[in-house]
Amino acid sequence: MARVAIVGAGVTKFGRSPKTGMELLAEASLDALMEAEMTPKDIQAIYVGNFIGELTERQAHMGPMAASALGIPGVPAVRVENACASGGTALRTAFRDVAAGYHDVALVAGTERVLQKSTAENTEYFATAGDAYYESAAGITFPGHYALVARAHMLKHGTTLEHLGHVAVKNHKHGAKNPKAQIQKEIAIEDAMKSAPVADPLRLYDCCPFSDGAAALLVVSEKVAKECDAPVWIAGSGQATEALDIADRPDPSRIRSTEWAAKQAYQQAKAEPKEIDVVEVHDCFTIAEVAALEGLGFFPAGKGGPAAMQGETYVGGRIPTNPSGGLKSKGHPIGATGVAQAAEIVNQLRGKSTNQVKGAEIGMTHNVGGSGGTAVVHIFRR
Amino acid sequence: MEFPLPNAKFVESLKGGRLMGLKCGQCGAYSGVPRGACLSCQSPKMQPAPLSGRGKVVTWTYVRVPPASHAEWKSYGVGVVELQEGARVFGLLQVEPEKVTPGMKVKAVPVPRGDGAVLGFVPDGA
Repeated sequence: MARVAIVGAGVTKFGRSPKTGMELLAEASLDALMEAEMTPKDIQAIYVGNFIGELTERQAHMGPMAASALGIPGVPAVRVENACASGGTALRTAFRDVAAGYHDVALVAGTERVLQKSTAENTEYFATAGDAYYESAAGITFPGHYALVARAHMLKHGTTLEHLGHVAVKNHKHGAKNPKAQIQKEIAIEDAMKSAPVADPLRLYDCCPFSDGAAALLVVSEKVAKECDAPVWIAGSGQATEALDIADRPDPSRIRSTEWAAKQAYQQAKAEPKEIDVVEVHDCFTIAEVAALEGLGFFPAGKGGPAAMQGETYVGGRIPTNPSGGLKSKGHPIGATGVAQAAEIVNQLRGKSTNQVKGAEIGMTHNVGGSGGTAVVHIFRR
Repeated sequence: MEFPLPNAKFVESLKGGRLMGLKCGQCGAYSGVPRGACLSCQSPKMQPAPLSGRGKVVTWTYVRVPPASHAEWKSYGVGVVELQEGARVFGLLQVEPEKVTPGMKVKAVPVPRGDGAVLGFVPDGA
């Protein structure tokens, strides 16, 4: 298959913003273009990652809106919605189209603006990633979905609340070094252990915040990449689904979509878990990072719980995980998340992250929709 | 091919106290969540079938920050139950949070909501 690279990345500050989702998207996109020394005229196609624009901003049809905002009506543009994996799926879709030769320069831009809505409203909107008729009707929330995973993991594997608390401690320590992060603050394990229950057994510090923000990438063909500085190559891409309803999963402690998407990406990249130098995983909840580390093959099933507590997932550890702070500390503007993960890995492989893993050559991103209904995995090489 | 168990029929039946699911005409597997083809063998021969409603708790949580749509419920238990037929379903758990145990026996009850009902569970034998 033809080689495809990322040659520019832009990320806005995450957190509460007075700007609209499209304004945030335009800022991140212009930053990505500037980094690649390109202008909007170079863009041949646009892929927008966005989850719930209709609900939070009464805004759908963001593809052409992005083209207009960048002054380039005429280019084909589409919004990709795959719940919290909208950004990662937009990247994969652009990757496939560029690899297939349809375009030489594609813009992937994820955006979300939710913080002008209340916690109760956003809790309802986020639950639309589950089954409206057989799950959400009974009032389950997203923390609730992952609480079901956490409880199952605890019962089967003996994972503890302290294990989960250390995931939050680690990601806050990493995020404190990221000037774009929403919560640039270290926390102690006692803070995590004492925080209020949200959906038992998960507590407030097991949950990522609601966030506004955007991120953008320029995905280009080999021909274009060779004329750019420090291209980062997309070496492998995988995507899979898990049964949407948790009741339909034979083992609710496991998220099989991650395992299946990772297998595709490893095969395409001709890589193994032990070769990955740095990974950004989808830690919307602390248990989600544990399940991700297992599903991606960094730990055997059931053994991911103590990883952060034992220091293995810190920068400097065996498998540095979420050097950006992850969703937990950096924030989770949903449609932007999968794109921002790739932007962090691009910076890592170029040696210019604010929380650099020394000498990183191969990086990975893992973006999940819902409680695992979708998983998208990418492997990058410099 | 017609969908074997539309949600409207599932809810109407639940309101009358009967939990409906599907049974695969090819491999015999039961499904608690209605679908067009079997999860086990992918056969489209799914037939509506009454379910016992009796089973055991697999995993559960207690929602303390409800969505706007369920604000009036304040806090409530929900969980996955494996029915005697082997199918798993998701529903409200009408049990005090500290009293739920893994494998706890429960039975299905309709919980009125608006004009319809959602699936709930109470301790079996209580």
